[in-house]
Amino acid sequence: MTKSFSLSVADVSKSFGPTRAVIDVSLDFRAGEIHGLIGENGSGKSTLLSMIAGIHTRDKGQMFKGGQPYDPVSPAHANEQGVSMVVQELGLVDGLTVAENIFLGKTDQFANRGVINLRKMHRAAEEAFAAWGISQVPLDVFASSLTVEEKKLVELVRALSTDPDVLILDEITAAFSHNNRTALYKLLAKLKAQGKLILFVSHNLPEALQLCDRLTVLKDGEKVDTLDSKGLTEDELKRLMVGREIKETYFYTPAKNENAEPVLVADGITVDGVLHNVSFELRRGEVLGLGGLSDSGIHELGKVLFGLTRADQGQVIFADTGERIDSLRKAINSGIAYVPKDRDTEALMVRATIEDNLCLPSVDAFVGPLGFLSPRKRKKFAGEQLEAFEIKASGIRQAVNQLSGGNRQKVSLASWLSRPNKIIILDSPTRGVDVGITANIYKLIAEVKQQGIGIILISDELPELIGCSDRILIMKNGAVARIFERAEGFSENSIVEVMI
Amino acid sequence: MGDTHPMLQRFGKRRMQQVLVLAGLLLVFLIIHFATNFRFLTGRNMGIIVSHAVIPTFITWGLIFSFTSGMIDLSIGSIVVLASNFAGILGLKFGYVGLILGGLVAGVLLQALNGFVFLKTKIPPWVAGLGMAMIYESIGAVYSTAAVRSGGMVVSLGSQLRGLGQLPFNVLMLVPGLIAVYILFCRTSIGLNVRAVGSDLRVTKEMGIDPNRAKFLSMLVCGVFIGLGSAINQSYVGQLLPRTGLTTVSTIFQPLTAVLIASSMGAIFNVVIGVVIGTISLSALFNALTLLGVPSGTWQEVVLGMLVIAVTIVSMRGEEGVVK
Repeated sequence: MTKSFSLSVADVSKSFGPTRAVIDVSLDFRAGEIHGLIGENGSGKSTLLSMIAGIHTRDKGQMFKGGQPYDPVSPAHANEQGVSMVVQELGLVDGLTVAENIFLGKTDQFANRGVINLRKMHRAAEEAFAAWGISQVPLDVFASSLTVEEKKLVELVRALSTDPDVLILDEITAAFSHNNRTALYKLLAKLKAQGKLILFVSHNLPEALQLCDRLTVLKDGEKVDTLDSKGLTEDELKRLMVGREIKETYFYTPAKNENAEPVLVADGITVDGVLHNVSFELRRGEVLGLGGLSDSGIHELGKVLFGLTRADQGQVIFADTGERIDSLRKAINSGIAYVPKDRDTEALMVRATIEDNLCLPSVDAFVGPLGFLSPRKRKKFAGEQLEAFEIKASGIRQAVNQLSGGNRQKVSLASWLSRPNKIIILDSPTRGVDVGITANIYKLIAEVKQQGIGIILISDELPELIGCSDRILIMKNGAVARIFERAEGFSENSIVEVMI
Repeated sequence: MGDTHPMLQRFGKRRMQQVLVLAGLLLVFLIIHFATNFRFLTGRNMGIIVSHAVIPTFITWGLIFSFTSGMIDLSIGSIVVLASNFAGILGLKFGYVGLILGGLVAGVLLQALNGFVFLKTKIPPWVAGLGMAMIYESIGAVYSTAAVRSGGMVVSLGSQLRGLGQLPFNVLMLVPGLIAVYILFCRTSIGLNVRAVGSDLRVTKEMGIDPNRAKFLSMLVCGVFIGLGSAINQSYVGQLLPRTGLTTVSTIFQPLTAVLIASSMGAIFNVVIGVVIGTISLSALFNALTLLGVPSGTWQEVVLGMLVIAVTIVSMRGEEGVVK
């Protein structure tokens, strides 16, 4: 460790029960660099960063900052020493306003004889949003009313409000749409120019290669290598991460019948203030991509199609039976599956076991001859899914909240994709998922499509939409802006033009 | 990163919603006025309604601190009995200063004891609160028995110190109370930390806040308002007889309903104001039922029970699985 490094960790280890999350990792980070940490889900990235941010204490090893021993006992303590982190999970208090969240634990600066000057606090929050070029979220609204993306923006402002010299961003871009992602890149370049160190985690390898100066690859809690990103290729990174070649990216195969009959019809769907007269058809055996900016309504549309949100006008028709899908029960009975974007609050029962989560959507399949659930069938099914989706866990009885973010996503996907489906709605399925399993998901999408199942792929990742879809429906301000056909040739520029 | 947020538009809506709620309340009051043969909206009756709302308002203000931090304490009613009697004893010796200080000291000390027990034992507060209620009720009974044995009775103010519990002074107490609770709950780090702890313990801890300290402080602040409510209560009733058999637990239902009303209007009114609207509405409801000849102790409680369910449904609207 030399003083030229702004932050160093030496032989750091951390275990959670029998799981060794980080094993003897040593790393040197430089001031004024964007340093990427990449690796498969469960490789130890978040745990390592959590130790640096004071969320977890290490079992072994040392850390140094500016040449001095660095030993944060809490995130607040790390903040005081110039280290801020935006965690992978949601990190806001829902019952507090945006402004209160930004300065929670630091309100003394606005207090006069113990009474907080709200005007001063709001002004400081406004200044923080403006200083970093982040679109302002209303300061008086409760965090509970914000979208995941807005929450992440607030968390980012909160992290920046302490003016850190080390900023840790754990998969923040997974929650961002195209526009906010672009703005974040500019912000990071600005911070880098100011000599700040940015530790950046992303499963988006092109993004990591483009943004980071150096990349450290972790695998199974151990450091594989630290490399300059210049000249490094995506394939090399994948090989280091997974330990094998991953050649195919999207596994795209053309739809068997481009003029197949529709399996789902959306007819003039309107949700006041969110969606306006949205109409389209999903054909049997095709992947229809849904893309758009953060306020485009793509995620809300997914909920309407699955009967989670009721449309104020218009209807969703399951073409096989002509039934109108206006409730969750009808959607599930019709063979529609939905994997939501927000895995912790919408997709999973995080305190329940992996087995319970995997089995719940398919519970009818486990009913024995006397009408009781068969523990043997459940166990067998859960075990198979655990293996098929490569979920890193101690077993099917492990609680979901003990898994890494990526492995939780795998549980969410597995629980729905393992059912006999006719339509699958996937909202950001590869969000927070490593390259290995991302490839598996793309392969699965291609295979499922060949079975004649209609797939709606909602994504903020344009390359993913382009790579997987037969058609791409771009939404803008809650309305359909344009539908691109693969036959016309997808062009990223022309799609972005329509989005903006 | 984008343009002006659409949620900014909601602020204009909020003012409109406030006007609509108040107008709706006025409309209901007018209907009751006609139904009660023009006996409801009279100056005297309004005074009675607001006057009856004062003590539940102070208790509810206290509850919003302890309940928000997750300390659901069912011993509040028994604390009110002990604090009222202690306020009466000190009041007879030191006048109004003694009355208020007595209520405050008893309220804060008993809530501090509860906080200590809840946090140290880690027993769910509502369970531990029931145990504490039995203990406090028994202490009250021992005091009552001892007073009778010595040839007297539990403290009675007679005609002394009754001004604080009567119009206009009891209603005037609402003003400093409202200001104090608003500042404490909304404008100090104590209130902020209490709200944070109750909403998300993990994130709050990560922000460097000691959750146990925040919870304990919430109990102390709750004790202050319970104590003040008890002092006003003693002045209003003159004498409060201790009760046993967990009968004091039912005292909490009216303030609890007010908390639920305040929560259900959380998006429209600040919760501190919502509490005042809630307690006055409840007081008005019971007043109207009495004027309409609905017997208290039976049908009035049925109405309260139905109201608790109705308000809970409204306050939980939007949550999965709840009746819309």
